[in-house]
Amino acid sequence: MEYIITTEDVTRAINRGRANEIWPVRGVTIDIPPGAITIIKGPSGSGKTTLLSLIGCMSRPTSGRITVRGRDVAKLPERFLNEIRRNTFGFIFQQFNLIQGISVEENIMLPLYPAGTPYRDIKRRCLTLMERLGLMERRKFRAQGLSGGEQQRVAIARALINNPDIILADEPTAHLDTRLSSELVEILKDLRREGRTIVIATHDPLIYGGDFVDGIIEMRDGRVIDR
Amino acid sequence: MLLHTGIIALLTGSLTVTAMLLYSSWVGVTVLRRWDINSSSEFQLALERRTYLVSTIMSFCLFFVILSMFLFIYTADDIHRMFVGAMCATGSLNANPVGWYVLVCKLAAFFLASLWIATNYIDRRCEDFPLVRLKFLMLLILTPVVATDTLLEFRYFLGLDPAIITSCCGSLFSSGGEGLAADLAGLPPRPMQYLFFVSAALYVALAAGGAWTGDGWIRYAAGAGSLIFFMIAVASIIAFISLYFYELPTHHCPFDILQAEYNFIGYPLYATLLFGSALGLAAGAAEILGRYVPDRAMTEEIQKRWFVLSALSTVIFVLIALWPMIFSTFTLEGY
Repeated sequence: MEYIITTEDVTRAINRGRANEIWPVRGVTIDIPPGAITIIKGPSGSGKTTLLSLIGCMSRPTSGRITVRGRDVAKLPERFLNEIRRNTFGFIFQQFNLIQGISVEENIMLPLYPAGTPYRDIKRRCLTLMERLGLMERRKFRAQGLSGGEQQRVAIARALINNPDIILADEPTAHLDTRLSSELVEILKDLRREGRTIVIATHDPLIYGGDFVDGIIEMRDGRVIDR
Repeated sequence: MLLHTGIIALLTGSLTVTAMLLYSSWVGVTVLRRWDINSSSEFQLALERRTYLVSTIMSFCLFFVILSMFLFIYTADDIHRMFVGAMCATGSLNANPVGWYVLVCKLAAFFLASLWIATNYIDRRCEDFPLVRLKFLMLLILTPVVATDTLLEFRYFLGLDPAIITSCCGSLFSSGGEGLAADLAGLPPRPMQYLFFVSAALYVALAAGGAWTGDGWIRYAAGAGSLIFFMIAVASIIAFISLYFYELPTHHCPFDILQAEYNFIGYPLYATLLFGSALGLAAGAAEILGRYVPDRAMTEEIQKRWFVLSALSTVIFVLIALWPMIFSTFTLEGY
């Protein structure tokens, strides 16, 4: 099988060579198939978020190989990583990370501004996503005036604005109740039907225990213990 | 030492650049010995990131090396007032003959630094560092040149004494004198004019050919041609171009044209000549570099741009040189 993401003996050190040196990820080797929902499961401090940020080119490994569509991103200089982050990945963060003080619409459109996409196209994509995620009535609301579920949907719309092949979600249900979590699961299933690859770091049983999950990678103390 | 802002800037800058180059050479030795692009070990990944950082810092340092060429000429020209007998940079350089070696060293460093910046420019547009070994090998060659330049610069400036009575351009660039400067000043103007304009036209044609035909041999010829034209142009400035600016048939100084009396025309004249030559040389060298780069189309595009800019710069240089020949009443007929 052709994997969309692979990691090979990946490690990540923080404060290398200092007294407070830590290794959140140690020798991780995983393969993620395309068009599937893959869960990275494990308790707090197990290295899930660090691994997700390494896969998403938001941080760089200390050693090892990470390939995204066959391209070794661990070796790429920052100028090339920018382009990969913008065109390949959509990120959904645990804290949503919406920008307070600007409207829902502006929050969703923001990632495309540096890409040089014409404003008319950005606007058209944004309206399509808001329509699809039921955010049309909230389009002019400021981010701080939204409920948790609405903030989550805005975060999803923002992750999809660049039409990414891969969506990375870090504890996406951490601030959602059961009903909103189920709504999120339905959205994720829809995205998979479109052929997108979804990688979720979570320790929520509602997510990793669901029948929609295609694969589970279990981590503890920075290592993969089961997959 | 004379307390002059130009001298302080040059010495401080050169020391900093030399220190950075020495560190980069140490990284360069590590790159040449242990670089393995197929490895994903901690050492290799750290080395890749370090080379990227060092290359970024070095491109700024070497940009200073390029600028220091002009700063040195400006400073030598500006301090001439402190020496009895000096009327321009020639007098300052004669006040301590080490100055002439600094000038030659700076010229060598200028072209080497330009080549390095060009190599780095192409390498950074590739994902897999194809020119990294060559780039750091070039740094190992550049380091002794820049270090010698710094050493000579210190010897020159520290050896200057305002009590020295120096001789100036009138005696050095005199067609009746001895030495290289006098030989250049004594070159016959008319044949030199033919040589200058024919070689300029030939070089611009070669650069245009290098940009649009894509023929490797034309590009090599254009690269070499840029250096040959540079030498012919310097000789021509001394032999006849400067005469038109001074409107004096016996004054061949290549430095007086830098002064306010001549509207600082020497700066755009030399800047366009150096810029055009350095870019032509870099574009020619890119023909070799392109063999090691996976994306040939990318280097072709860069070469084309550099050749066009080099040709444009050369045309502007020729136009500046032509200006007084066309618009002044001075003529060399009879000399």
